[in-house]
Amino acid sequence: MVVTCPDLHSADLSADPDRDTARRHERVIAAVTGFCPDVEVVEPGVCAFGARGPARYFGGETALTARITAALADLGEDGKIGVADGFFAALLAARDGRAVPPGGAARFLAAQPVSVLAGRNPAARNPAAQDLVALLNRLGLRTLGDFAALPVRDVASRFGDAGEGAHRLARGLDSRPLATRPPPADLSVVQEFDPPEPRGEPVVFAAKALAGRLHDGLAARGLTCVRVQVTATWADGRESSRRWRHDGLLSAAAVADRVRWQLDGGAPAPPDDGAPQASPGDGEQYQPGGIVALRLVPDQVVRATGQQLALWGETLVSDRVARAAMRVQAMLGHEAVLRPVLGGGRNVHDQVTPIPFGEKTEPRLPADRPWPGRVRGTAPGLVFPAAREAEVTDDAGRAVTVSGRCAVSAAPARLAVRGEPPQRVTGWAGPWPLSERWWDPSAARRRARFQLATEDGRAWLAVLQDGRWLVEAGYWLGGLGQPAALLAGAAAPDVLGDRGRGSSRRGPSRRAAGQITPSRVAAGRDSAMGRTALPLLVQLPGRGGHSRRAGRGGGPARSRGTRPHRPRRDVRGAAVRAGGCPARRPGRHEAGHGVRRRADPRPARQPGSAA
Amino acid sequence: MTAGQPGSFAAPNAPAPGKTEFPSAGPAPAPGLAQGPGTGSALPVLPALRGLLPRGGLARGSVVAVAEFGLLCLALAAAASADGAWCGIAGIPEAGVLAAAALGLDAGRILLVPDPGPSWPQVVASLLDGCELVLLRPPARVSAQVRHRLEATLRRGRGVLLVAGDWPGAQLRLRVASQRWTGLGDGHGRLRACCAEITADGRGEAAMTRTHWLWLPGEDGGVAMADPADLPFDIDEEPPGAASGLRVVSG
Repeated sequence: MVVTCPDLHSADLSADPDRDTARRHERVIAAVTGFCPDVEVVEPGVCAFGARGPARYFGGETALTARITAALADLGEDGKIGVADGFFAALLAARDGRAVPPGGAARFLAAQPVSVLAGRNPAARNPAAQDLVALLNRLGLRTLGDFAALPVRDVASRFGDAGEGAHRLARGLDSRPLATRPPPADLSVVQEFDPPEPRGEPVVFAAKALAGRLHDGLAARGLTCVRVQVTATWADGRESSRRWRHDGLLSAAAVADRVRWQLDGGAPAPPDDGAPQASPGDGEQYQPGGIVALRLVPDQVVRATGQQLALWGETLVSDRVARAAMRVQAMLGHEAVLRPVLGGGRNVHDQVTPIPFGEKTEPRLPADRPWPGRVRGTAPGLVFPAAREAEVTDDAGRAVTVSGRCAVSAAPARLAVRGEPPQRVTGWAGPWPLSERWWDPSAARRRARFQLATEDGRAWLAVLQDGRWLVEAGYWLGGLGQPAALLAGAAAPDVLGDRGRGSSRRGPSRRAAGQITPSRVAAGRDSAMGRTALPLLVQLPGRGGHSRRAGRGGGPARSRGTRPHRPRRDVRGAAVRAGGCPARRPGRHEAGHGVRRRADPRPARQPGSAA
Repeated sequence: MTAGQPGSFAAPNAPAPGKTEFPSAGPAPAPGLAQGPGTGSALPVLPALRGLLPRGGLARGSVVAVAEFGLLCLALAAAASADGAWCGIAGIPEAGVLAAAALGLDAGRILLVPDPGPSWPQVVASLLDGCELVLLRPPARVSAQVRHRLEATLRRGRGVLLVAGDWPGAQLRLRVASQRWTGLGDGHGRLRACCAEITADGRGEAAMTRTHWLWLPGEDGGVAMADPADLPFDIDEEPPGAASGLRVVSG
């Protein structure tokens, strides 16, 4: 019995970036496996199995066919089923969805044209078989019946092995038995919580044991998974599902960490449920919205070949970095943490491909091509994610244009980038024309690139496209920090030449530096930075603003004496203070500024002791 | 160290009196964070930049602020990244990775978080756990509390926070006092190199203002000290010798 899905059969799996077709295919196979465990997957969208046993179980071939068709219809697939003696005949019968009665295969095949020998899927056609079909046609053998009528010996001597194989098919003899595959084991693991677990910690704890089971199951079969899918289901039906990179590198504890991050990342939609990281205090009481099930599903199971770490030369993501990146991904989403990959391309945007962390790093455009027409030389330090609109005008205030012959209407004199004051252009080069993908109207673009240097010392990569000026990238090092004061005062041309006002600009900056520093020195530079930085950290959460306000001389000796305890208080102090703030605040007001936390309990205690 | 102006400041390797008391080299670094023997108290920087930094490197656990994002930020990160450090870049969607790679950063060890959103302090803290170097452009106003908390995270993790923007508590502040690109003519040429005057000051051992002229990038794409005497343009206001700018401002 052969089951085909024409949609899937004609689809080219390699041209399917989302693996959507592959997933549909997998679902179909799973459905068919429900009827017969030993199924041979012949090619995409075609599978075969021996029908005798299942047909008897389900009450005949017709009943079995009807059941499988219904099951496929449930999946939204249009399946056709053929039944015949032998795989080849069944495959042909599946085209029409008919069942060939037992013993009738030869007669059924005799009526088929010889072209069926070449296969139906154009992509999978065998050139030798096609030659054979063409030859048979030229010899006047139009149907398989004609071909099958030839003596075997003559066919073998005239057409060779391929011809003999085809002759066997034409006579209704299969060239080989079915190679069925055992059904894949379900490697996913589930932990159910009854009653629903409102707190995150027990779930994470269970996740560790669960991950151990998952790993054991995979290891017993010599497998590993590329990714693991963590699905948490809440009692009210919400579900949080996320895939984490695994590559066989994660320990059970590391998987549990991912579960924790995923739960910390927030339950979906209504936050009224037991927020996963609910405070440990509300322990036993039952909350209606807890987690009922946690499921770990290995995704893309592959054979475990072990991990060979590179000795040199290969950039490996260390566990520490991966952990940090994934934690950020858990907060902001998978696409929020990117790794840049250098590639080729003609425009500054094309040359770097950002790829979400954890995915395979491959540039969009290969780097080893010549890419004629790209802007050469120094790369810009700033590449604006969206090109900024700008106006470039000449001396007379007219917009600068570039003709079809790449002639500039006038020398650019002013550049006004949107959001910034206009700048005088002190040097420029271009236009460098670029006409890309003219054969593809949707992606075609013609543009002329310029490099412009402006009077503030910066330089820009400007593009004229469709009559509009855009600034794509900027070349500069940094700023002064007070651009309003210093850059505005510096109406001085910086680049190449005009030397009048440079001093007036540089003057203030140096003077400013000179002013700042002595004041800091007067505040006690010798003891300032080195000693106080540490006490400042140590005292900060516990003592409120005290150390900052009270100057820098006081702390060091004491704080160093009590040093071993401080960091812990530093960590805990913030939480304590955050929690206890409302209660404590009145006390602080009563006692005036700079009350220490240590002093707080006393007013409370004193009345108590007095009473 | 390749200071162009000998004698104007102490060599960074000299045991400065304040050195042992600097926070990251403090008496008791947090336990469990002991690094391998190869990691010192500072991340390396490009040779040309060493003179600007009080210890010839980016002191671990410190905040270095650059007034505005640009090539200088990337150049500061370059040597550490080439040395094996991971570099996180948060809140700077326009960071030019190509230019960074030209300066020496290893693009394979960069993590970009272009839009950290409102929870950026947590994002930066997470990045600091994994990366030795985090480049950050904070939003306009950073509350003192957030700042201090991040600084505490920083000291625990022995990383360096490179801030593109204002950060009042920064141990070191760098500014680009002037910059000039060369190579562009009037309708011809292309940008070739940039000569910039970088000023550094800060707190503690960095309090002394240092000013250097740098080629950033130079004709060869690298970073080099520029000799004010033979810049391709005139520095008219001061004789080149006076441009050393390494003025000792305290006794």
